[in-house]
Amino acid sequence: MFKNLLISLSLLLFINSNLIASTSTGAKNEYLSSLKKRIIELDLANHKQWLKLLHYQKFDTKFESQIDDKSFFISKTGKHNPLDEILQTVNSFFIEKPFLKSKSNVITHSKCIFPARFQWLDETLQFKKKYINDIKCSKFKEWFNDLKPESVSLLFSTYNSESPASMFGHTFLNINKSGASKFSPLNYSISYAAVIDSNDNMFQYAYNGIFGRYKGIFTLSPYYLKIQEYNNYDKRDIWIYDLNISKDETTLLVKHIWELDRITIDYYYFKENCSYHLLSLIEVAKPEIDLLNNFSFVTIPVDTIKILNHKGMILKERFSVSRINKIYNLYNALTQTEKIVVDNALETKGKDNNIFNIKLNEESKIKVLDFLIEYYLLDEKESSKKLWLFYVNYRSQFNEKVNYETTTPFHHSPLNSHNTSRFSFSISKTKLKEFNYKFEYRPSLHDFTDEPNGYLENSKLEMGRVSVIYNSKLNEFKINQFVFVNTLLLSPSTKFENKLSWGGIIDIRKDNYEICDNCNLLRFGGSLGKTIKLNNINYFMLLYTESNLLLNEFKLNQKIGPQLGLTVDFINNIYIISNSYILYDLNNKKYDRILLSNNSISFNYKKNHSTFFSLKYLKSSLKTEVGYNYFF
Amino acid sequence: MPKITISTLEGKMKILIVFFIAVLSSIQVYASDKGPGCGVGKVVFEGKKGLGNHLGATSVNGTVNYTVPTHQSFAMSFGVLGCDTDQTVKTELKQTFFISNNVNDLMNDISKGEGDYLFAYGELLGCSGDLEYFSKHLKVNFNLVIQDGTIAKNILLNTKRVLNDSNHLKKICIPAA
Repeated sequence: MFKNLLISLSLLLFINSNLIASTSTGAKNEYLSSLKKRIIELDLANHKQWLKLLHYQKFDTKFESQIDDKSFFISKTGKHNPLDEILQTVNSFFIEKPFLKSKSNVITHSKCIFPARFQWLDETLQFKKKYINDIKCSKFKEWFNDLKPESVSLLFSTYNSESPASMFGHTFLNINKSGASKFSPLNYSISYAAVIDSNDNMFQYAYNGIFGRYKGIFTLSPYYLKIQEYNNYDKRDIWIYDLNISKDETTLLVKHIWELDRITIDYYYFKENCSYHLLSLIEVAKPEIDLLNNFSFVTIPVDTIKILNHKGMILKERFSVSRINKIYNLYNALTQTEKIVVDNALETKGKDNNIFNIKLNEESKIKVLDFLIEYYLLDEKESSKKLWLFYVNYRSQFNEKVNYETTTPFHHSPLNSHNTSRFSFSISKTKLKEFNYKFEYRPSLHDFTDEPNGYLENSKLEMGRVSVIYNSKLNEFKINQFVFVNTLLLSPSTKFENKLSWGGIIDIRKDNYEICDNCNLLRFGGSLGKTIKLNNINYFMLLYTESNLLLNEFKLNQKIGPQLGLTVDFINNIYIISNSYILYDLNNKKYDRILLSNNSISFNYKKNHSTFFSLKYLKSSLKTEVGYNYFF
Repeated sequence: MPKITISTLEGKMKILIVFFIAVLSSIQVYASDKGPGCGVGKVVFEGKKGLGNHLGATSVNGTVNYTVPTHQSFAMSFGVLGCDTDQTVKTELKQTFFISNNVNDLMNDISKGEGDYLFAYGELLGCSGDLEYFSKHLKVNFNLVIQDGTIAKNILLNTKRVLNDSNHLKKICIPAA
């Protein structure tokens, strides 16, 4: 509808402006022709600013906009034709009456729908205002004044072991208000997300997400809703990167966000995802910087921050602590006596209101109360709310100021993390005294023996890992394993959190257990259990189960058993994991038992470089392996 | 053709279930827009299910609790609800929405007499002229602010009463009086 209206109206304009010749329209037409000449002379259609405003990507000599919504273009051929689009856009600005239907169904003028295009073209071509309708664009102005844009920050919401959705992190932009603190909850946040039909089943989610069948849109919300969502509800810390974008550039970016209202873009889960299209917004503000070109297949959120840093776009790193980590910070700041009071309060659950009768000075009481008023917000139980109300009331009675740091990050900055892709080479020796050479590529993301800085502690998340083995005797390369996804999250339970440890694996591999001879197995495995931390060592105990589908014979093999082990990560640059299974074969009536143990130690001698040694025990045979990892 | 027995069929079901879980968990990796339910925040949107749809947007997992399309800054999203012409109602809705979504953090800040939420609250009430005084005054009157519970409307009403008690704030807090 909108498109048709748009086309017919622009055609009308053409006919109108060409056929009906009065003196003023004659002069206007002459002016318009001269503008078009200048556009062509200056080659503005190929100007970086124009290309970025329209989200064009160049393929060989052809252009294509990444925006898939037709109402984003004024020209019928706009998606592929920057020149026609710029000519039609300029033309549309000189139409007398409001003639376009905005997505909110209001007939309005194109300069109110495309304020960023208008600003840039006006600055570049110095439009003669007497030919342009001085329509106020009041809806846009009201919206713009509400945002009061001053600067832009990119926010990275980190990982949380309890939520699979968070495992790669998430990014969004903040538009910081002029005159307000950059921490102000009243700033606005811009996110890009897929619009998903909640009736879709999981196969549809996967298929549509991977193959671009979902539509993505940009959304705007107050920053405080993001804090509540990520910091408080999801228990995720947020890293904030203030970007090197001036007030003028921010203004253009915000105007462009208005142009994108309800404009849909095909959403590709791996590449054109939430992080990717934020970069396209940043490119509008900084057209001379190429960011999107750095991503060809996959866009991992943390990589987008690293690219921005590499391009000198990051002015400052800030941090917004999650409620749970704030609670740890508050607790760690307590003295031994204060801790006893807190522990007592938590144990008696407020029944013993005399906890403060013991001799605590005012400062100590404040610190204890500051802890308690945060602690009782962790859950939404009615009993917690009552206690919170009691303590927050109590807290208001103290006037003294206590200064202590409660926002310290628990983890290293994601900027200091190892790179997300990894290449490995290793040599292994089996009981037959054969040497195998293994080459491995892992596009994402992290393992226990990789440097944990900037990643979720005590975790593994691998996707798309492929290993190839070279057999020197046979002089042949063979694909040994392809991992779709392999994850194991061993977060120890703590004083304030009772956590589950869990993992899952889907892969295709050559047989390891001698289920069949030299065949391929498709495996689905999962584990669930607990991890405890004692003297800096994490001990885990899980129940593991796996189903193997023998691809050659279409037969099924199932195993179940305990998975036990430990991880050590407190020695500088050295990381250890020992992971053992006792598996019972369910398809075999004798319930054959298999003992399997993987033990690795790595030495991360330099950022993005490590060496490792591992020892594998399987069915009374021992395999040793030594190798090198490079992260890039 | 492989012989399919009942047990392998069961096995396949198990595979399917595990696959479901794996796919679900992997597909949601980037699609991170899960709603917190916003605690008390639902108060403003109570009885308006599908508002998000009405505004032209749904969040990723299909919940519609607060995702707004880009054109809907606060004033405007409430404008859609029919308050377009009345600036006072808009401002009040903005304040109520802020309180209901941040009531816990806001009350914590008021009890201490400082903090980002308290300053933001002061700004929404038009007291940017003297946020320090505003913060102290609210802290001193904490009991009055919260006397009718943590329902956003009551907190707002009580805050305005408390502000009116101060001659200084009466003068500087423009829309609050």
